[in-house]
Amino acid sequence: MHRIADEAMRYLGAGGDGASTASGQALRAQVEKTLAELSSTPPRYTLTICEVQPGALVSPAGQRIPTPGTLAQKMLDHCESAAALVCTLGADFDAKLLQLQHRSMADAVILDACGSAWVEHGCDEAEIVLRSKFPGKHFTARFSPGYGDLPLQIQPDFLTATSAMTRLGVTVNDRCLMSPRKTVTAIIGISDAPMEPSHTKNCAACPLREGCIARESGRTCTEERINT
Amino acid sequence: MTKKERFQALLNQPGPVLLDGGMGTMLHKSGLAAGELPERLNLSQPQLLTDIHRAYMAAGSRIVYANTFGCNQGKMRRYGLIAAELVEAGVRAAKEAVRGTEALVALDIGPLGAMLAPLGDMPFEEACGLYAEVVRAGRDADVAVIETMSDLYETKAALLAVKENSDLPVMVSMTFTETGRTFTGCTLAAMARTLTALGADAIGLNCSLGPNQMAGMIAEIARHTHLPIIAKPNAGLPDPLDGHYDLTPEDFAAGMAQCIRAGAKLVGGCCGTTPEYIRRLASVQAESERAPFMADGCVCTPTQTVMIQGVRVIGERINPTGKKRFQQALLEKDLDYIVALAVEQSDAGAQVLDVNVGYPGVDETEMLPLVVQKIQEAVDTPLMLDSSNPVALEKALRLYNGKAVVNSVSGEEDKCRAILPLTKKYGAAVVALTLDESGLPDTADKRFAIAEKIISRAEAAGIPREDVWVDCLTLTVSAQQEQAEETLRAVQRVRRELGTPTVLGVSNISFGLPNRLVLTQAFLLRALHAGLTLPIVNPNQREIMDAIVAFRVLSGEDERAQRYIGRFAGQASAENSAAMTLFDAIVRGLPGEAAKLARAAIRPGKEMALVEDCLIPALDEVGARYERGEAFLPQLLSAAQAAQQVFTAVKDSLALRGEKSAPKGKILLATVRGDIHDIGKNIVRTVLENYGYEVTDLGKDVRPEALIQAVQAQNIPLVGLSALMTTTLPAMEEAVGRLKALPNPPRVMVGGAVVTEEYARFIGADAYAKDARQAVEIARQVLGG
Repeated sequence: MHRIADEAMRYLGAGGDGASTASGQALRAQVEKTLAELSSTPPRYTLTICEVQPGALVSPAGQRIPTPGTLAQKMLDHCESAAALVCTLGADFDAKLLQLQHRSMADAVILDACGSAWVEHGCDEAEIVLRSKFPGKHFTARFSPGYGDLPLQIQPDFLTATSAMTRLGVTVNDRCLMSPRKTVTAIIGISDAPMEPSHTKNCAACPLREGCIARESGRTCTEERINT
Repeated sequence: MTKKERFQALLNQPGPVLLDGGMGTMLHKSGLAAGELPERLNLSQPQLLTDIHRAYMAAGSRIVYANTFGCNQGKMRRYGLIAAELVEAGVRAAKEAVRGTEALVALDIGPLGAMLAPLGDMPFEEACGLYAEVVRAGRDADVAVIETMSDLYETKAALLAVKENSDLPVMVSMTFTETGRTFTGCTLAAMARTLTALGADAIGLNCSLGPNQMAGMIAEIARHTHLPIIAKPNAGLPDPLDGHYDLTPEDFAAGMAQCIRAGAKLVGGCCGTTPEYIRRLASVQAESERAPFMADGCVCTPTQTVMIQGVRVIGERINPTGKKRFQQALLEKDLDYIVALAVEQSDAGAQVLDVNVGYPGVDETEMLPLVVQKIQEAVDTPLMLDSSNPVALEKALRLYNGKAVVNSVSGEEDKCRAILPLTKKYGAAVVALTLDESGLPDTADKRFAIAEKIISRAEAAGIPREDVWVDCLTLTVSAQQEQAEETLRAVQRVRRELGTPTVLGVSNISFGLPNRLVLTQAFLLRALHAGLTLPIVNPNQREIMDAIVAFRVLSGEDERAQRYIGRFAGQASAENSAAMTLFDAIVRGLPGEAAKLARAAIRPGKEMALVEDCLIPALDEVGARYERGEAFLPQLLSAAQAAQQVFTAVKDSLALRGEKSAPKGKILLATVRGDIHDIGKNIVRTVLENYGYEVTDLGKDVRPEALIQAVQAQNIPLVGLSALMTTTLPAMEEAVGRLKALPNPPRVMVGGAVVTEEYARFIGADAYAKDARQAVEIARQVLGG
């Protein structure tokens, strides 16, 4: 929980030195309380193991997730299969956040940041399960539509191929924005051969690394994939 | 025989009625459908579908679901397909399968794949329209089934569409997680109560869970409906990696025996099940041990169900009568003021909120639905829609999420004719005023007679008696002293002899007398004793809530006095605010303290001095700390919330003299078209408002036309636009372009997660606001202050 709180503090702009100020410590206490409340509702996720084909992942039911661009191509270079991960806090989190905005914008901002950290934690948990199911295999870092040159436009196919609508209640609008808002889609490549470091760290393989805002502020987009 | 009669005849047979099993599973097994859109098969391979339906019928299915689950234009648009054609073809293929048999074809209606507003961006009526298309195309089916729904609101849209566009009987099943809630948080009780009241013919559960997880939920549903219950679970739970389900046909059948015992009448399988599962299910021997239905009054929202068992408090504050500040808010469409009253009353213990926005100069047909939607965003307390305008009531009832209560009908013929059918159609409860064409009767017995009449009229209209809440009417004791006893006697008779919930506007009793609270409290206690279940009161008055809490102990409703103890045991002494200044209270972000101190400090006629001399400097201090990294966004916002209390005190003080505050300048805020995430914009708004700017917030997913209209209508000099995702940046560019092309263009500032200073310049915006603090600086430059 400590690490998740660190993450939430960073989203609130109170990471690093700020955390040790009096305000930072007061904020930290609120963050920890909020996370404790969230912990009764763990993120839900689904992992779909897909075959890696040129330009697309193919689900066991034969549904395709297009993977255009050099990021996906590079990351999945030596992978035979890949997991399509969808992880979400669900629409009731959105409802709670909306309600809280009418009560206290300050509390809402804290809940929002904690939700981002919490869904990210859900992805980590899913990845642990994934790794345990494939002993001896090697895995790429998670990478998501909307970052690097992997377009958000693949979200509808991503959600169809993973049955995320019926399994998790995740929807996508015509601008490819997902609802519930705290939802992450990501791809994790799986390979028999060990990975090069560039495949296990996101920025190294990213064609947009130059001029990336996240990198300039000392973060990576794995930390910012969330739909907020 | 009509379709409803055929469906009913099937249900009247002893034992369970068999539905079919998974369609996707069978398509996948056929090997033909890999990667293909299953809906397309309705046109390309109808024979394959007919064969699958026949396989299920051979296994024992009496109702087969046509392959139309995903056939709605919302989903099919993406593939360039016409949903109606696919629906017709899907129903045709199923009809072909049942030809010459007694089996029925269900038009299968699934979710639209879009989230409805306010959580998503699809308006309720658009959802109704998309479903209406499906229903009209599938009218040849024998029954409609709405299934795999996780959003009660969307389910309501689908159910209304079936009822408004066909004469099909309709089954509705929603999908729940093992927590006993849907993905959107809807509870079993709320689902059952709402869908039963809306006129479904059978309700229940499908998908997500296996039969073993579903049985307990079926038992819970039985307590909240008298309708036949559906259980159509998956073949167990899926393996998280390969998606395979863990139950064999034998295990599935054993689990289904539990569901049947719990009360399921319509049984089948969902994902992972095949004809073999249905064959096994057909041989299950189990008797229903269905729990009895709790026939108590009820209102609900998806997450909050209020059963009228004991005393339930209705909050009276959302009503403009005699309240200047409220009237002003209505005329200015200041919905936030009204929403704040809803939040405050819910926090104070109101379990239902009366909502009345009738006032000269206010169009209730527009305002009531708007206010209802806005309140439902903020609280999950069920609502009482209080209006004498049937058009306003219908619009609000349609948009209400859950089961509402209408206030009110009376014994008058034209009222009954106008209100009862609306109440029935939209599945609400209704308040029955015991008066009629000859006015308000002066005896308890006459009021009782009117109550009896309304109840029988309601029952004839299909509204169960527990949904008629009788109001025996409180009269002012200063004017008609003898009437207090008559009211109490009428309450007593109604409760004892008719058994329906009773409601009274309690505070009327003391009108025109000093120290009203004493009299109101005394009357309240007598009325509760006489059998009043639903007092309409001001829950913010501590003495009133104290009386109710005490009564619940004496009546035995509050077992072991737990709630009573909870209310009073924690009453520690209030924080000592003697040493705190208003400046400190704002800086430290303490809204309660700020409110108290502001009220004490305010001088009538010099209200704005408090803002200029104390509030703005305090906010600037927090802003400076924020910029130095000594305070963070939540603290900036806490200060803003404390400042809001000062503004409230200022506005209240001005309203007393019939004046309004002169805001510093108008700012329009919006999240651009397609963008449904607006917390960032809301942050900016909170901060700007608390610097005294008048903010018009158009919300999220806003079209450029709406921006232009607001700018021109209100002559707005500064517009703030927010966009979150790269996919909505083009919409921002378009909006800025359209605004700057106006003859007298406003200044435009932009911000949001993906917006940069360069991008702002590139699209022609005047300024880039990296955060709320900077938005204030920009506002100061453009508008002053």
